Amino acid sequence: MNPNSGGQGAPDETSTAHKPRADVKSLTRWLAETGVNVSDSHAEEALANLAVLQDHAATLREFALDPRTPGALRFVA
Amino acid sequence: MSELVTPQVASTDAIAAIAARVREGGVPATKLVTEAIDRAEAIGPAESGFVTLLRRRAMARAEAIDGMVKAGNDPGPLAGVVFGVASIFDVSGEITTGGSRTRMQAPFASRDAAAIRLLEDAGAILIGTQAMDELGYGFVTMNSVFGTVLNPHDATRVAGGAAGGSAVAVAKGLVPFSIAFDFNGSLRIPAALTGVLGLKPTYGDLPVDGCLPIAESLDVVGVLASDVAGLERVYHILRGGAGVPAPVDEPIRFGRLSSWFDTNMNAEMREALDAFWGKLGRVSLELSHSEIARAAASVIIAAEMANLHRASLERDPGSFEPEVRGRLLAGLVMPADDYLRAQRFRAWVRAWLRHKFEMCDVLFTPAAPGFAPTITNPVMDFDGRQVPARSHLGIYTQPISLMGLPAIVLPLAGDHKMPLGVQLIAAAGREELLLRAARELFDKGLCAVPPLPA
Repeated sequence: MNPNSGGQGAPDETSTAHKPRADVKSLTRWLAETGVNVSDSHAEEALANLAVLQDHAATLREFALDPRTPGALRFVA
Repeated sequence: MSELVTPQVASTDAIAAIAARVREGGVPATKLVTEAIDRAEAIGPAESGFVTLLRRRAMARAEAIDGMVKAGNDPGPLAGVVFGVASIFDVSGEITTGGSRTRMQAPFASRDAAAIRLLEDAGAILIGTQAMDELGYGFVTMNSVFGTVLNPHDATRVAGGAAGGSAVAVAKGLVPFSIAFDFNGSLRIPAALTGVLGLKPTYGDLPVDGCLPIAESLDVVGVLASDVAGLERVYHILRGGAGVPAPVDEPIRFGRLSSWFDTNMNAEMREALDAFWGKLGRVSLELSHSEIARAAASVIIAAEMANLHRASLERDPGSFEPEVRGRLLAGLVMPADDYLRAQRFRAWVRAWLRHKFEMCDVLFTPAAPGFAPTITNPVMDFDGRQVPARSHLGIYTQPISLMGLPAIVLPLAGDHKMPLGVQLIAAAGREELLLRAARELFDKGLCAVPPLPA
Protein backbone atom coordinates (compact mmCIF):
# COMPACT_ATOMS: atom_id res chain seq x y z
CA MET A 1 0.00 0.00 0.00
CA ASN A 2 1.12 3.50 -0.69
CA PRO A 3 1.61 5.12 2.74
CA ASN A 4 0.69 8.41 1.18
CA SER A 5 -2.81 7.34 0.27
CA GLY A 6 -5.66 9.18 1.92
CA GLY A 7 -6.99 8.40 5.34
CA GLN A 8 -9.52 10.80 6.74
CA GLY A 9 -11.26 13.50 4.81
CA ALA A 10 -9.95 14.84 1.56
CA PRO A 11 -8.76 12.71 -1.31
CA ASP A 12 -5.07 12.19 -1.81
CA GLU A 13 -4.08 13.83 -5.04
CA THR A 14 -0.92 11.74 -5.26
CA SER A 15 -2.60 8.33 -5.09
CA THR A 16 -2.45 6.79 -8.52
CA ALA A 17 -1.72 3.17 -7.72
CA HIS A 18 -5.27 2.03 -8.39
CA LYS A 19 -7.29 4.05 -10.81
CA PRO A 20 -11.02 3.87 -10.26
CA ARG A 21 -12.88 1.70 -12.68
CA ALA A 22 -15.73 4.17 -12.71
CA ASP A 23 -15.83 7.51 -14.48
CA VAL A 24 -17.97 10.55 -13.75
CA LYS A 25 -20.79 9.33 -15.95
CA SER A 26 -20.92 5.81 -14.59
CA LEU A 27 -20.53 6.98 -11.01
CA THR A 28 -23.33 9.51 -11.42
CA ARG A 29 -25.58 6.77 -12.75
CA TRP A 30 -24.47 4.38 -10.02
CA LEU A 31 -25.28 6.92 -7.30
CA ALA A 32 -28.64 7.70 -8.91
CA GLU A 33 -29.48 4.00 -8.77
CA THR A 34 -28.84 4.10 -5.01
CA GLY A 35 -31.16 7.10 -4.68
CA VAL A 36 -28.62 9.94 -4.62
CA ASN A 37 -28.65 12.45 -7.46
CA VAL A 38 -25.45 14.44 -7.82
CA SER A 39 -23.97 16.99 -10.16
CA ASP A 40 -20.91 16.23 -12.27
CA SER A 41 -18.73 18.25 -9.88
CA HIS A 42 -19.95 16.20 -6.92
CA ALA A 43 -19.33 13.02 -8.86
CA GLU A 44 -15.78 14.17 -9.58
CA GLU A 45 -15.18 14.68 -5.85
CA ALA A 46 -16.55 11.22 -5.18
CA LEU A 47 -14.46 9.70 -7.93
CA ALA A 48 -11.22 11.03 -6.43
CA ASN A 49 -12.19 9.61 -3.06
CA LEU A 50 -13.25 6.32 -4.59
CA ALA A 51 -9.75 5.94 -6.01
CA VAL A 52 -8.32 6.27 -2.49
CA LEU A 53 -10.79 3.79 -1.03
CA GLN A 54 -10.09 1.32 -3.82
CA ASP A 55 -6.41 1.66 -3.00
CA HIS A 56 -7.20 0.73 0.60
CA ALA A 57 -9.43 -2.12 -0.51
CA ALA A 58 -6.59 -3.48 -2.64
CA THR A 59 -4.33 -3.43 0.42
CA LEU A 60 -6.94 -5.36 2.36
CA ARG A 61 -7.36 -7.94 -0.38
CA GLU A 62 -3.65 -8.76 -0.13
CA PHE A 63 -4.31 -9.94 3.41
CA ALA A 64 -6.68 -12.83 2.94
CA LEU A 65 -8.55 -14.09 5.97
CA ASP A 66 -10.67 -17.20 5.76
CA PRO A 67 -14.11 -16.33 7.12
CA ARG A 68 -15.10 -19.98 7.55
CA THR A 69 -12.72 -20.60 10.43
CA PRO A 70 -12.88 -17.51 12.60
CA GLY A 71 -11.05 -19.24 15.45
CA ALA A 72 -8.04 -19.95 13.29
CA LEU A 73 -7.95 -17.28 10.67
CA ARG A 74 -5.23 -17.88 8.15
CA PHE A 75 -2.55 -15.35 7.44
CA VAL A 76 -1.81 -15.56 3.75
CA ALA A 77 -0.28 -12.20 2.87
CA MET B 1 -8.72 35.66 35.35
CA SER B 2 -7.04 34.54 38.52
CA GLU B 3 -9.21 31.47 38.95
CA LEU B 4 -8.69 30.17 35.43
CA VAL B 5 -6.41 27.21 35.12
CA THR B 6 -2.92 27.77 33.83
CA PRO B 7 -1.95 24.85 31.62
CA GLN B 8 1.78 25.55 31.68
CA VAL B 9 2.49 23.30 34.66
CA ALA B 10 1.48 19.71 34.03
CA SER B 11 2.83 18.15 37.21
CA THR B 12 0.07 19.80 39.19
CA ASP B 13 -3.50 18.66 39.70
CA ALA B 14 -5.48 21.68 38.53
CA ILE B 15 -8.85 19.96 38.73
CA ALA B 16 -8.39 18.77 42.31
CA ALA B 17 -7.16 22.20 43.35
CA ILE B 18 -10.16 23.96 41.84
CA ALA B 19 -12.65 21.46 43.29
CA ALA B 20 -11.03 21.69 46.73
CA ARG B 21 -11.37 25.46 46.76
CA VAL B 22 -15.03 25.28 45.75
CA ARG B 23 -15.81 22.58 48.31
CA GLU B 24 -14.21 24.53 51.12
CA GLY B 25 -16.01 27.73 50.11
CA GLY B 26 -12.83 29.47 48.96
CA VAL B 27 -14.26 30.39 45.57
CA PRO B 28 -17.86 30.24 44.37
CA ALA B 29 -18.62 28.10 41.35
CA THR B 30 -20.57 31.02 39.89
CA LYS B 31 -17.34 33.02 39.74
CA LEU B 32 -15.54 30.24 37.88
CA VAL B 33 -18.37 29.95 35.36
CA THR B 34 -18.62 33.69 34.83
CA GLU B 35 -14.88 34.09 34.31
CA ALA B 36 -14.60 31.21 31.88
CA ILE B 37 -17.60 32.21 29.77
CA ASP B 38 -16.70 35.91 29.79
CA ARG B 39 -13.23 35.12 28.56
CA ALA B 40 -14.46 32.69 25.90
CA GLU B 41 -16.90 35.33 24.67
CA ALA B 42 -14.22 37.98 24.63
CA ILE B 43 -11.77 36.03 22.49
CA GLY B 44 -14.37 34.38 20.24
CA PRO B 45 -14.78 30.89 18.80
CA ALA B 46 -11.60 30.81 16.73
CA GLU B 47 -9.41 31.34 19.79
CA SER B 48 -11.54 29.79 22.52
CA GLY B 49 -12.61 26.67 20.64
CA PHE B 50 -16.18 27.13 21.88
CA VAL B 51 -18.96 27.46 19.32
CA THR B 52 -21.83 27.56 21.83
CA LEU B 53 -21.70 28.96 25.36
CA LEU B 54 -24.34 27.77 27.82
CA ARG B 55 -24.34 30.63 30.32
CA ARG B 56 -27.87 30.19 31.65
CA ARG B 57 -27.54 26.46 32.15
CA ALA B 58 -24.05 26.71 33.66
CA MET B 59 -24.99 29.50 36.06
CA ALA B 60 -28.00 27.53 37.31
CA ARG B 61 -25.75 24.58 37.92
CA ALA B 62 -23.12 26.73 39.62
CA GLU B 63 -25.69 28.33 41.90
CA ALA B 64 -26.89 24.88 42.93
CA ILE B 65 -23.34 23.83 43.76
CA ASP B 66 -22.68 26.98 45.75
CA GLY B 67 -25.91 26.33 47.60
CA MET B 68 -24.79 22.82 48.48
CA VAL B 69 -21.49 24.13 49.82
CA LYS B 70 -23.26 26.75 51.95
CA ALA B 71 -25.55 24.03 53.31
CA GLY B 72 -22.54 21.95 54.32
CA ASN B 73 -23.01 19.31 51.62
CA ASP B 74 -20.36 17.94 49.29
CA PRO B 75 -21.04 18.66 45.59
CA GLY B 76 -18.57 15.98 44.52
CA PRO B 77 -14.96 15.50 43.43
CA LEU B 78 -15.32 17.84 40.46
CA ALA B 79 -17.16 20.56 42.38
CA GLY B 80 -17.36 23.70 40.28
CA VAL B 81 -14.86 22.51 37.66
CA VAL B 82 -15.92 23.89 34.29
CA PHE B 83 -15.59 21.84 31.11
CA GLY B 84 -16.62 21.74 27.48
CA VAL B 85 -17.69 19.04 25.06
CA ALA B 86 -17.19 18.50 21.36
CA SER B 87 -20.31 19.17 19.29
CA ILE B 88 -21.24 15.50 18.99
CA PHE B 89 -22.46 15.22 22.60
CA ASP B 90 -26.17 15.67 23.23
CA VAL B 91 -26.85 18.64 25.48
CA SER B 92 -30.43 18.83 26.71
CA GLY B 93 -32.36 21.52 24.82
CA GLU B 94 -29.62 22.07 22.23
CA ILE B 95 -29.11 20.80 18.69
CA THR B 96 -26.29 18.30 18.33
CA THR B 97 -24.73 19.72 15.19
CA GLY B 98 -21.71 17.49 14.76
CA GLY B 99 -20.21 20.56 13.12
CA SER B 100 -22.44 20.07 10.08
CA ARG B 101 -24.83 22.32 8.24
CA THR B 102 -26.89 19.20 7.52
CA ARG B 103 -27.88 18.99 11.20
CA MET B 104 -28.89 22.60 11.77
CA GLN B 105 -32.57 21.57 11.70
CA ALA B 106 -32.11 18.41 13.77
CA PRO B 107 -34.38 17.97 16.82
CA PHE B 108 -33.28 19.44 20.13
CA ALA B 109 -31.67 16.85 22.37
CA SER B 110 -34.06 15.67 25.06
CA ARG B 111 -31.36 14.78 27.55
CA ASP B 112 -27.63 15.09 28.15
CA ALA B 113 -25.19 12.51 26.86
CA ALA B 114 -24.22 9.89 29.44
CA ALA B 115 -20.70 11.29 29.77
CA ILE B 116 -22.04 14.74 30.64
CA ARG B 117 -24.40 13.27 33.22
CA LEU B 118 -21.57 11.37 34.90
CA LEU B 119 -19.37 14.47 35.09
CA GLU B 120 -22.11 16.78 36.34
CA ASP B 121 -23.15 14.20 38.91
CA ALA B 122 -19.60 14.58 40.22
CA GLY B 123 -20.00 18.37 40.46
CA ALA B 124 -18.52 19.52 37.15
CA ILE B 125 -20.22 22.27 35.14
CA LEU B 126 -20.66 22.17 31.37
CA ILE B 127 -20.12 25.64 29.90
CA GLY B 128 -20.37 25.00 26.17
CA THR B 129 -19.89 22.96 23.04
CA GLN B 130 -16.72 23.03 20.98
CA ALA B 131 -15.68 23.28 17.35
CA MET B 132 -14.83 20.33 15.17
CA ASP B 133 -14.40 19.31 11.54
CA GLU B 134 -17.70 18.55 9.88
CA LEU B 135 -18.97 15.21 11.27
CA GLY B 136 -15.50 14.59 12.63
CA TYR B 137 -14.14 14.03 9.15
CA GLY B 138 -10.74 15.72 9.03
CA PHE B 139 -7.67 16.48 11.10
CA VAL B 140 -7.62 20.28 10.91
CA THR B 141 -10.81 21.81 12.42
CA MET B 142 -11.38 24.00 9.40
CA ASN B 143 -15.14 24.22 9.13
CA SER B 144 -16.91 26.41 6.57
CA VAL B 145 -19.97 26.84 8.82
CA PHE B 146 -18.49 27.05 12.32
CA GLY B 147 -15.12 28.50 11.39
CA THR B 148 -11.47 27.58 11.64
CA VAL B 149 -9.94 27.12 15.08
CA LEU B 150 -6.54 28.75 15.53
CA ASN B 151 -3.57 27.08 17.15
CA PRO B 152 -2.88 28.92 20.44
CA HIS B 153 0.87 28.60 19.91
CA ASP B 154 0.75 30.23 16.47
CA ALA B 155 -2.49 31.63 15.12
CA THR B 156 -1.34 31.07 11.54
CA ARG B 157 -1.40 27.31 12.07
CA VAL B 158 -4.17 24.75 12.41
CA ALA B 159 -5.14 23.41 15.81
CA GLY B 160 -5.53 19.89 14.47
CA GLY B 161 -8.75 17.96 14.46
CA ALA B 162 -11.30 16.74 14.26
CA ALA B 163 -11.94 17.88 17.86
CA GLY B 164 -9.70 20.95 17.65
CA GLY B 165 -11.99 23.21 19.68
CA SER B 166 -11.82 20.83 22.63
CA ALA B 167 -8.02 20.87 22.68
CA VAL B 168 -7.74 24.62 22.20
CA ALA B 169 -10.11 25.34 25.10
CA VAL B 170 -7.77 23.36 27.36
CA ALA B 171 -4.57 24.80 25.89
CA LYS B 172 -5.89 28.34 26.40
CA GLY B 173 -6.73 27.57 30.03
CA LEU B 174 -10.44 28.27 29.63
CA VAL B 175 -11.29 24.86 31.03
CA PRO B 176 -9.04 22.31 32.74
CA PHE B 177 -10.56 19.52 30.66
CA SER B 178 -12.79 18.78 27.69
CA ILE B 179 -14.40 15.60 26.54
CA ALA B 180 -14.34 14.70 22.89
CA PHE B 181 -14.41 11.74 20.53
CA ASP B 182 -11.75 9.74 18.79
CA PHE B 183 -12.45 7.23 16.03
CA ASN B 184 -9.30 7.86 14.04
CA GLY B 185 -7.14 10.26 16.01
CA SER B 186 -9.73 13.01 16.42
CA LEU B 187 -8.62 14.11 19.88
CA ARG B 188 -5.04 12.81 19.80
CA ILE B 189 -4.01 14.96 16.83
CA PRO B 190 -5.21 18.30 18.27
CA ALA B 191 -3.73 17.34 21.64
CA ALA B 192 -0.36 16.86 19.94
CA LEU B 193 -0.51 20.05 17.90
CA THR B 194 -1.65 22.30 20.75
CA GLY B 195 0.52 20.83 23.52
CA VAL B 196 -2.07 19.28 25.84
CA LEU B 197 -2.77 15.72 26.99
CA GLY B 198 -5.31 13.49 25.27
CA LEU B 199 -6.55 10.04 26.29
CA LYS B 200 -8.32 7.72 23.86
CA PRO B 201 -9.46 4.74 25.92
CA THR B 202 -10.01 1.21 24.71
CA TYR B 203 -12.93 0.86 22.32
CA GLY B 204 -16.07 0.32 24.38
CA ASP B 205 -14.55 1.52 27.66
CA LEU B 206 -16.49 4.78 28.10
CA PRO B 207 -20.19 5.38 27.42
CA VAL B 208 -21.12 6.73 24.00
CA ASP B 209 -24.84 7.02 24.82
CA GLY B 210 -26.10 10.37 23.63
CA CYS B 211 -23.23 10.94 21.20
CA LEU B 212 -23.82 11.53 17.51
CA PRO B 213 -22.33 8.43 15.88
CA ILE B 214 -19.50 9.01 13.46
CA ALA B 215 -18.14 5.55 12.69
CA GLU B 216 -19.93 3.13 14.95
CA SER B 217 -17.28 0.42 14.85
CA LEU B 218 -14.60 2.84 16.03
CA ASP B 219 -16.28 5.61 18.04
CA VAL B 220 -14.69 6.24 21.43
CA VAL B 221 -15.23 8.98 24.01
CA GLY B 222 -12.01 10.45 25.39
CA VAL B 223 -10.58 13.24 27.52
CA LEU B 224 -8.30 16.23 26.93
CA ALA B 225 -6.70 17.83 29.98
CA SER B 226 -3.87 20.04 31.09
CA ASP B 227 -2.24 17.55 33.48
CA VAL B 228 -2.02 13.81 34.07
CA ALA B 229 -3.80 13.84 37.42
CA GLY B 230 -6.77 15.68 35.92
CA LEU B 231 -6.93 13.34 32.98
CA GLU B 232 -6.97 10.37 35.32
CA ARG B 233 -9.56 11.91 37.61
CA VAL B 234 -11.99 12.61 34.77
CA TYR B 235 -11.37 9.24 33.15
CA HIS B 236 -12.28 7.36 36.32
CA ILE B 237 -15.46 9.37 36.77
CA LEU B 238 -16.45 8.65 33.17
CA ARG B 239 -16.06 4.96 33.89
CA GLY B 240 -18.92 5.32 36.35
CA GLY B 241 -17.17 3.66 39.24
CA ALA B 242 -16.06 0.58 37.30
CA GLY B 243 -13.14 -1.18 38.93
CA VAL B 244 -9.53 -0.74 37.84
CA PRO B 245 -6.74 -3.31 37.95
CA ALA B 246 -4.59 -3.33 41.07
CA PRO B 247 -1.53 -1.09 40.69
CA VAL B 248 1.75 -2.80 39.82
CA ASP B 249 5.10 -1.45 40.96
CA GLU B 250 7.24 -3.11 38.32
CA PRO B 251 9.16 -0.78 36.01
CA ILE B 252 7.40 0.04 32.77
CA ARG B 253 9.11 -1.34 29.67
CA PHE B 254 8.90 1.15 26.81
CA GLY B 255 9.34 0.29 23.14
CA ARG B 256 9.37 2.44 20.05
CA LEU B 257 7.34 1.25 17.08
CA SER B 258 9.23 1.13 13.79
CA SER B 259 8.34 0.70 10.10
CA TRP B 260 5.01 2.43 9.48
CA PHE B 261 5.57 4.67 12.48
CA ASP B 262 9.06 5.64 11.37
CA THR B 263 8.11 7.00 7.96
CA ASN B 264 7.01 10.46 6.87
CA MET B 265 8.24 12.13 10.05
CA ASN B 266 9.51 15.68 9.77
CA ALA B 267 13.06 16.44 10.91
CA GLU B 268 11.90 18.25 14.04
CA MET B 269 9.76 15.31 15.11
CA ARG B 270 12.47 12.75 14.41
CA GLU B 271 15.06 14.67 16.41
CA ALA B 272 12.75 15.05 19.40
CA LEU B 273 11.58 11.43 19.28
CA ASP B 274 15.13 10.10 18.93
CA ALA B 275 16.12 12.01 22.07
CA PHE B 276 13.07 10.69 23.91
CA TRP B 277 13.83 7.13 22.77
CA GLY B 278 17.45 7.47 23.83
CA LYS B 279 16.39 8.09 27.39
CA LEU B 280 14.05 5.08 27.48
CA GLY B 281 16.45 2.29 26.57
CA ARG B 282 16.35 2.40 22.76
CA VAL B 283 14.12 -0.66 22.39
CA SER B 284 12.42 -0.86 19.03
CA LEU B 285 9.55 -3.10 17.96
CA GLU B 286 7.56 -3.88 14.89
CA LEU B 287 3.76 -3.66 14.96
CA SER B 288 3.09 -5.38 11.70
CA HIS B 289 -0.18 -4.95 9.82
CA SER B 290 -0.35 -1.27 10.76
CA GLU B 291 -0.76 -0.12 7.19
CA ILE B 292 -3.47 -2.72 6.64
CA ALA B 293 -5.14 -1.47 9.81
CA ARG B 294 -5.12 2.05 8.43
CA ALA B 295 -6.61 0.82 5.16
CA ALA B 296 -9.31 -1.11 7.00
CA ALA B 297 -10.13 1.90 9.15
CA SER B 298 -10.57 4.10 6.08
CA VAL B 299 -12.92 1.63 4.40
CA ILE B 300 -14.98 1.12 7.56
CA ILE B 301 -15.25 4.84 8.28
CA ALA B 302 -16.28 5.72 4.74
CA ALA B 303 -18.91 2.99 4.60
CA GLU B 304 -20.37 3.62 8.05
CA MET B 305 -20.46 7.38 7.65
CA ALA B 306 -22.11 7.10 4.26
CA ASN B 307 -24.72 4.83 5.76
CA LEU B 308 -25.37 7.16 8.70
CA HIS B 309 -25.77 10.22 6.47
CA ARG B 310 -27.49 8.59 3.55
CA ALA B 311 -30.74 10.48 4.11
CA SER B 312 -28.95 13.84 4.00
CA LEU B 313 -27.07 12.77 0.89
CA GLU B 314 -30.35 11.85 -0.80
CA ARG B 315 -31.98 15.11 0.28
CA ASP B 316 -29.22 17.55 -0.59
CA PRO B 317 -25.64 16.44 -1.19
CA GLY B 318 -24.71 20.09 -1.68
CA SER B 319 -25.22 20.78 2.02
CA PHE B 320 -22.01 18.95 2.95
CA GLU B 321 -18.54 20.42 2.70
CA PRO B 322 -16.83 19.24 -0.49
CA GLU B 323 -14.18 17.16 1.30
CA VAL B 324 -16.78 15.36 3.37
CA ARG B 325 -19.27 14.96 0.55
CA GLY B 326 -16.73 13.33 -1.73
CA ARG B 327 -15.80 10.73 0.85
CA LEU B 328 -19.40 10.02 1.83
CA LEU B 329 -20.48 9.52 -1.78
CA ALA B 330 -17.52 7.23 -2.36
CA GLY B 331 -18.40 5.31 0.80
CA LEU B 332 -21.92 4.86 -0.49
CA VAL B 333 -20.76 2.90 -3.52
CA MET B 334 -18.03 0.83 -1.85
CA PRO B 335 -18.87 -2.87 -2.22
CA ALA B 336 -20.13 -4.63 0.88
CA ASP B 337 -17.40 -7.16 0.14
CA ASP B 338 -14.70 -4.59 0.97
CA TYR B 339 -16.45 -3.43 4.12
CA LEU B 340 -16.79 -6.99 5.37
CA ARG B 341 -13.16 -7.71 4.53
CA ALA B 342 -12.18 -4.68 6.64
CA GLN B 343 -14.37 -5.80 9.53
CA ARG B 344 -12.95 -9.31 9.32
CA PHE B 345 -9.43 -7.91 9.53
CA ARG B 346 -10.45 -5.75 12.48
CA ALA B 347 -11.67 -8.80 14.39
CA TRP B 348 -8.55 -10.74 13.49
CA VAL B 349 -6.05 -8.07 14.42
CA ARG B 350 -7.66 -7.45 17.81
CA ALA B 351 -7.27 -11.11 18.70
CA TRP B 352 -3.73 -11.18 17.31
CA LEU B 353 -2.74 -8.19 19.43
CA ARG B 354 -3.25 -10.03 22.69
CA HIS B 355 0.26 -11.43 22.37
CA LYS B 356 2.01 -8.27 21.28
CA PHE B 357 2.68 -6.74 24.67
CA GLU B 358 4.92 -9.48 26.04
CA MET B 359 8.22 -7.66 25.41
CA CYS B 360 7.08 -4.13 26.16
CA ASP B 361 4.29 -2.72 28.29
CA VAL B 362 3.96 0.63 26.57
CA LEU B 363 4.69 1.27 22.91
CA PHE B 364 5.27 4.74 21.57
CA THR B 365 5.11 6.55 18.23
CA PRO B 366 5.00 10.12 17.04
CA ALA B 367 1.48 11.44 17.47
CA ALA B 368 1.69 13.48 14.28
CA PRO B 369 4.40 13.88 11.64
CA GLY B 370 5.61 17.27 12.92
CA PHE B 371 4.52 20.80 13.75
CA ALA B 372 0.99 21.98 13.02
CA PRO B 373 0.63 22.88 9.32
CA THR B 374 -0.28 26.41 8.33
CA ILE B 375 -3.89 27.41 7.76
CA THR B 376 -3.21 29.06 4.42
CA ASN B 377 -1.47 25.98 3.04
CA PRO B 378 -2.48 22.96 5.17
CA VAL B 379 -0.26 20.36 3.58
CA MET B 380 2.61 18.16 4.72
CA ASP B 381 5.69 16.83 3.02
CA PHE B 382 5.83 13.04 2.67
CA ASP B 383 8.92 11.84 0.82
CA GLY B 384 9.11 15.06 -1.15
CA ARG B 385 5.43 15.03 -2.04
CA GLN B 386 2.86 17.38 -0.60
CA VAL B 387 -0.20 15.70 0.90
CA PRO B 388 -3.28 17.30 2.49
CA ALA B 389 -3.05 17.67 6.27
CA ARG B 390 -6.82 17.23 6.51
CA SER B 391 -6.49 13.58 5.54
CA HIS B 392 -2.93 12.69 6.54
CA LEU B 393 -2.17 14.15 9.98
CA GLY B 394 -3.49 10.97 11.57
CA ILE B 395 -1.26 8.41 9.86
CA TYR B 396 0.10 7.22 13.23
CA THR B 397 -3.20 7.32 15.13
CA GLN B 398 -5.47 5.63 12.59
CA PRO B 399 -4.06 2.07 12.89
CA ILE B 400 -4.32 2.21 16.68
CA SER B 401 -8.02 3.07 16.46
CA LEU B 402 -8.70 0.10 14.21
CA MET B 403 -6.85 -2.11 16.66
CA GLY B 404 -9.05 -0.80 19.46
CA LEU B 405 -6.07 -0.09 21.73
CA PRO B 406 -5.95 2.66 24.36
CA ALA B 407 -3.55 5.51 23.62
CA ILE B 408 -2.49 8.71 25.27
CA VAL B 409 -0.81 11.69 23.65
CA LEU B 410 1.64 13.78 25.67
CA PRO B 411 3.65 16.89 24.75
CA LEU B 412 7.37 16.22 24.35
CA ALA B 413 9.59 18.38 26.55
CA GLY B 414 12.07 20.70 24.87
CA ASP B 415 12.42 24.10 23.37
CA HIS B 416 10.49 23.38 20.18
CA LYS B 417 9.13 26.06 17.88
CA MET B 418 5.69 24.42 18.16
CA PRO B 419 4.29 21.57 20.29
CA LEU B 420 5.27 18.02 19.37
CA GLY B 421 3.33 15.05 20.71
CA VAL B 422 4.25 11.46 21.50
CA GLN B 423 1.60 8.72 21.40
CA LEU B 424 1.80 5.97 24.05
CA ILE B 425 -0.09 2.74 23.41
CA ALA B 426 -0.94 -0.13 25.75
CA ALA B 427 -2.82 -3.40 25.58
CA ALA B 428 -6.60 -3.22 25.60
CA GLY B 429 -7.95 -2.32 29.03
CA ARG B 430 -4.58 -1.07 30.33
CA GLU B 431 -5.41 2.63 30.66
CA GLU B 432 -4.05 2.68 34.19
CA LEU B 433 -0.68 1.63 32.80
CA LEU B 434 -0.75 4.44 30.25
CA LEU B 435 -1.54 6.96 32.97
CA ARG B 436 1.27 5.63 35.15
CA ALA B 437 3.63 5.86 32.18
CA ALA B 438 2.50 9.44 31.58
CA ARG B 439 3.22 10.39 35.20
CA GLU B 440 6.65 8.80 34.95
CA LEU B 441 7.52 10.67 31.77
CA PHE B 442 6.48 14.01 33.27
CA ASP B 443 8.42 13.24 36.45
CA LYS B 444 11.53 12.43 34.39
CA GLY B 445 11.18 15.69 32.51
CA LEU B 446 10.72 13.94 29.16
CA CYS B 447 7.25 15.39 28.73
CA ALA B 448 6.07 18.89 29.63
CA VAL B 449 3.21 21.14 28.66
CA PRO B 450 4.68 23.95 26.54
CA PRO B 451 3.96 27.51 27.70
CA LEU B 452 1.77 29.66 25.52
CA PRO B 453 3.45 32.60 23.81
CA ALA B 454 3.28 35.79 25.83
